Amino acid sequence: VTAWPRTVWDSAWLRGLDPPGREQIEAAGSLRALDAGATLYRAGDAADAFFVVADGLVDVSAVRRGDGDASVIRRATVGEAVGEDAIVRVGATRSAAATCASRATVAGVPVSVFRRATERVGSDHAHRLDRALRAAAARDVFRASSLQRAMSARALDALVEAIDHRILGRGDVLFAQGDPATHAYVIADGMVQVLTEDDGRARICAYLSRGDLVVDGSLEGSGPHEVTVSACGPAWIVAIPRARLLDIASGSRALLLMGRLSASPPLPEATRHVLGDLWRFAAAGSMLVIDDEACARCGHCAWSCSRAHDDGVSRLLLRGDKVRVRDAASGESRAFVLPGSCQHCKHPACMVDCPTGAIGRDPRGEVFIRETLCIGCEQCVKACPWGSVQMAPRVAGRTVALPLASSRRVAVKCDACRDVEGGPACVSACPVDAIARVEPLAAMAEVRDAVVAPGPSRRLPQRRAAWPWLVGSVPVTAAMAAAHWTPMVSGVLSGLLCSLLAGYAIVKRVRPRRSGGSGRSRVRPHAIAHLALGVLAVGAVVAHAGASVPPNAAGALLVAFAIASMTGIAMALAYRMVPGALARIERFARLPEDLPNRARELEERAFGVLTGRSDEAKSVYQHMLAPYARRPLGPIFLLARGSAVRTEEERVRAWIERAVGAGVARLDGIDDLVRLVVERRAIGAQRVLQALLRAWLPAHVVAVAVALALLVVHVVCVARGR
Amino acid sequence: VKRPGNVTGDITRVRSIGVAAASAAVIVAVVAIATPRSQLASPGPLARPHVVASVSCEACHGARADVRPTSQPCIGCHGPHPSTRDGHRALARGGALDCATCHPAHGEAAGVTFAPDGRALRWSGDVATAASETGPPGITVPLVALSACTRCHDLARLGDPIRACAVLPQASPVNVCFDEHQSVSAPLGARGVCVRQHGEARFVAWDAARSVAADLGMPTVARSLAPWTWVASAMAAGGLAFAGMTASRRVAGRGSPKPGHPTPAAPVRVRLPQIDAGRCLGCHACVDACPFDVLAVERHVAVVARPEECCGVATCEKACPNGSLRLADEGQPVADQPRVDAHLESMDAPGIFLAGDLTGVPLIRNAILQGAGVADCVADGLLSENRAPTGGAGGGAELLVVGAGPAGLSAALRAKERGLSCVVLEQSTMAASIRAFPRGKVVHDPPIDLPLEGALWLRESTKEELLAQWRRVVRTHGLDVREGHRVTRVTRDTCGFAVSAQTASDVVTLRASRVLLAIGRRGTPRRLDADVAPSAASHVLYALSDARALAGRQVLVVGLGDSAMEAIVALARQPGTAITVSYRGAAFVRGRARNVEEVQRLAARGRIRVHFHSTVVRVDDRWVLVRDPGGLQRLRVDVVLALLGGVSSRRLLDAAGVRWASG
Repeated sequence: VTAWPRTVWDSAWLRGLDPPGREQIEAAGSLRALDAGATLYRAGDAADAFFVVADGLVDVSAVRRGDGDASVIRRATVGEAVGEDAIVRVGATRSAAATCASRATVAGVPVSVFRRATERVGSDHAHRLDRALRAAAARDVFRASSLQRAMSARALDALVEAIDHRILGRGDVLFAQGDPATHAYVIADGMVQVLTEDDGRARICAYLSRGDLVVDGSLEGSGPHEVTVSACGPAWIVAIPRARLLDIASGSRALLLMGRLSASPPLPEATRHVLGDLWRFAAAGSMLVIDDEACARCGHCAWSCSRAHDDGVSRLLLRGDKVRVRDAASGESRAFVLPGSCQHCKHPACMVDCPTGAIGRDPRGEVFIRETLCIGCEQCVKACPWGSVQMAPRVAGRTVALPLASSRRVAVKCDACRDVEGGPACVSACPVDAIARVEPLAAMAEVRDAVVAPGPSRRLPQRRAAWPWLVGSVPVTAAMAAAHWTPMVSGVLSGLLCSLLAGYAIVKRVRPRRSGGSGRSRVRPHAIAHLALGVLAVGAVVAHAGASVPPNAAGALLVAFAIASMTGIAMALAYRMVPGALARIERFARLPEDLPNRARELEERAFGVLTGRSDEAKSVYQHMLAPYARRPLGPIFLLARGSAVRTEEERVRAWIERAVGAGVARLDGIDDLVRLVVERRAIGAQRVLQALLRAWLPAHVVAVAVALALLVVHVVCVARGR
Repeated sequence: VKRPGNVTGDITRVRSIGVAAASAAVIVAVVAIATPRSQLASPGPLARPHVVASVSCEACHGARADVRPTSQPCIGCHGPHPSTRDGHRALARGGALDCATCHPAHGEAAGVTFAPDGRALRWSGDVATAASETGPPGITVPLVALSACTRCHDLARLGDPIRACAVLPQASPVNVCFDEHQSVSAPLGARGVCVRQHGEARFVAWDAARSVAADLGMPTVARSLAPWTWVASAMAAGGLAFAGMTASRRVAGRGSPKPGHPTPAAPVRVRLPQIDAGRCLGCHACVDACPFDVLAVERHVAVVARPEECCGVATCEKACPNGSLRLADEGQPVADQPRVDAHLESMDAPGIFLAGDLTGVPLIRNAILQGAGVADCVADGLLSENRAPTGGAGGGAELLVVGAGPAGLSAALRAKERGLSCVVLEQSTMAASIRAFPRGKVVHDPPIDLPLEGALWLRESTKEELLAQWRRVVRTHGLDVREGHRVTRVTRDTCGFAVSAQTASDVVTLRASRVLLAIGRRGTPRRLDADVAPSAASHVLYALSDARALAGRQVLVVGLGDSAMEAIVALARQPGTAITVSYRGAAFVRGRARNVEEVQRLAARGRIRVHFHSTVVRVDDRWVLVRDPGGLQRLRVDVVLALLGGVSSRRLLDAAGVRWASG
């Protein structure tokens, strides 16, 4: 006796199941009554079940390739199913949306339970049903693909008969350049990249995603493939024998024009950089980005991260790739560093590979590791394509819930500080509003364009400006300096302001506890207040002490205060001006301790490039490029010129061309060498700039410590004298 | 660059800054405790006559040191002798003028005191200097700085009453009108206070003081540097603490394998992983840890798929997260291994050491540890024989290393560190075994520790990077590595060993006290047993160092072992390369599962053509004759890549007296 209506059990998919199978499906599944217009699932939702319509009508709608808006691609009636794509890849996402066209009753069948139930009936039965469901899923794929326009319903049926399914992982090759071309492919889910290899270097010439048809060369001939197609991430691809496609196509020549591949123009130079790993952006649920032109490289984010976790291991590092993207809302171009930190993928590879199920994804989309289940097998470390998972020592006293597992190390990664009130520690700790979590698909114009993303666009995070407060505080401080106060009043005021200024250290270094996770920095307002109060304190101190330095503790206090304020001003100026200069000359964000190694590595690499080159190239390197790279003041010249690395490369190349004249044609590999020496010189400049950014803080803090100690001495002296 | 635990400067710097700030504050506290309280609080040094008279703070200030005292305490000692001028009197009555207005007790106070011998002492604050004038002994004359007067008076104004009093010598201006408190013409009886203060001869004293002032002006007030030195010393202490913390962190990060690190040794008995299927989680940790693909996961449980490849080194055991995999001794002694003691010295030929793959212990890391261990052992041995390292002064080398692979180079580095003279002979080029890896092969993950160098962090962990690092290490440390020397004979003589090596042109013989054979198991590449035309000799390669060089060529690969399969895969990635494979055997029988799978896929796709049961008969300029079951075939080929394994160097070892475990 079952509770679900007969129409469900009589449907083509569930017919013939034995009673225990039905019971299991009922127990694990759900029967839902929905109003007209209600949404069953949306595109992008996790797909782990398919739905059988018990009553009413359900529309499946998707954005057809080439269209701007979603349109209904199929209407399911009683006994039919929607969401069959779950059968192909459990854990994938929906490619289409399903809404009720009328009041409807729908039974959700979890795929894993369905598989078990059909296996009980017999493996033949299970196999047949599986194939039929796959075909149904493929049918929806074709309906939403670029093929759809050229096909009649009959042609579609014929096509579905002939297909087979390919499931690829990241980096798997669908076909390689030179392989015989036997099939055409439609991408049912995921994303692939089209590569050509020239001069041994792979060049990405297009990205194709859900709904695209992949055909290269002429359909008639079965010559070799002209390009390599590989999966950017997990992908489900439907393969159609070329001959069969040709049969259908002979009815409609238009089909042959739909091979988007041959028509797709090469990516423009500017965006190729962004799209080097488009999958990374498309897969990211919440990506940590650092505004390269604002980040002062103070490292407070990494420090806060290490403090926010009991094991003291920072999940983020201030090194990583740089990208330049346009704001999806305003179109303004921004440069970002992508620090090595978990980006909370929509299909986490680490989660799939975890043998104990220790990795989960919460409803808000945050991927997390359950430490009690982690056995330290490092599968996730290997699975993450971007190296965002690392091993850390297990905090003493925490044990493993699994029997027999006793590893001393656990996998850790950014968990978006889900246990910390007030949101991610790194974001909340940034004094310059540079670090933020963004969803690239919503906020980056290039990614939106390439993936044809649904949903509203969002602005990239903006920083809160400090200058209005500083400008406002200057007249106040001037008035304070000129005011006639008794020494007592001005002294107490100065002391108060100095204590408030020193309190910034507590705000900055104490673990964030206050709630209010607005996704913005908690420290930034305090940093602005610190700057403004600093300006005011100068006025109060001038009013109290004047310009003379008495030969006692008060004089020493004045000296220490002067040093503290001067280092503070220098730091504020450096924070304002240096990041922009640094952003121009670095290709890859690096920590200061990486730079000496990188310089050495570049020199080694130059030797590597030189081997086997012509004597002209060697002599140009020896007489021009090597001295250029090693000149002691070179970095200073580079900074003084204020040009970006690319401009500098062009300048050096022009210089070589002038010097060598017609011989430049024989200098193969010179571009690589120029790139290396310019980067070598830029490394020196980076060291100068990093030092400019980092030198002030220790001096400032030490001066403040001295001033505070002297303030105590001064106050004690004054109080004792009373 | 990977570092463990993501401990970067960003994180450790905070502690350094904290320590620096704390030490600076401590210095301030020490200064505050060590300095007399009067100096901590006073606005400047007390005037010298007050210091001489030991006037206490309380005498003037009473209980409240922060309040400027009135004239009352001054009158207590000096007696009442207010200004005689009406203007000044009016100001004094209004409280706007007191003694300290013109005669500050701290800081700028100055004057002239005539010592008992009559010599003038000019003082400023508490510092005194001798002047050449003389005057009546024991009299003190205060000097008034014009700056005290110019608070009210304007010297530029013609009618100003003190215009005439200003003396403007090279030093700061001074008021030389000395009739402020009493007119010079006043009767003597009215001058009682003056006499008490300045003696009867005050006119003489004033004259003398006036001339001192006229010559020298107001003595410049000696500015106290105390506040500056306090702050400077505290800041310097903070800076030192910061630099010290940073430097200690840097030193701590530069680890070097310490001498006495256990030298990895080959297991004596065959060991195989034993997997408890009930506990195995199927997590692949052991599969990934094994460098030889011995293990595989089948139906969610790890199994020993290729026991014959197991090296017995427990990387899989270490990787297993729950101890379900253990290495167990099978009981059979390992055959085919040279007999060495714990220090890797041959048991049968003392003085000859072995290291690296030759000892049956694979992995670059182990080879490095073994090489360093041998160099340590040699240095210790020579020391105990009272033969202090000579650094090569005695003609022959103290340690002669054969083979410039990881083990040999590591031994040479440690030998240099220990001051031994060391020569490295290499039959082909440096680290040829690594060079023979396919292009871009990932070598290993964690850092390797090198003697003298410390941790070698590899960014991309590819063989190209490792090779570049080796080249750099050899260059920077100036190791004596002689390439192209194939060692043919090692003989023992009276004072060590004589090692003969074949170079391209002749045979050289080197002498050495100790010999390290780090020649690996590859031996010398086995030659192609075919009739090769002299003009075609250069088309036959025995190693593939760079597959890109063969792009677009027609290549015949001879052999189907692991290295051949890896080469095939690398070649197949090159555009336009046509690959034919000739193999004696009937099918893919040897090799790692991953390689076999990949090559089979290539064959199925038609990317390569495989001739089984075939032998190469003749190699000519543009073609090759291959005999297979179908008869003789003529193939158009640009390059023949013969990867047939190596000819063992066993004969060299046997001749040197190294004996092998019989198995």
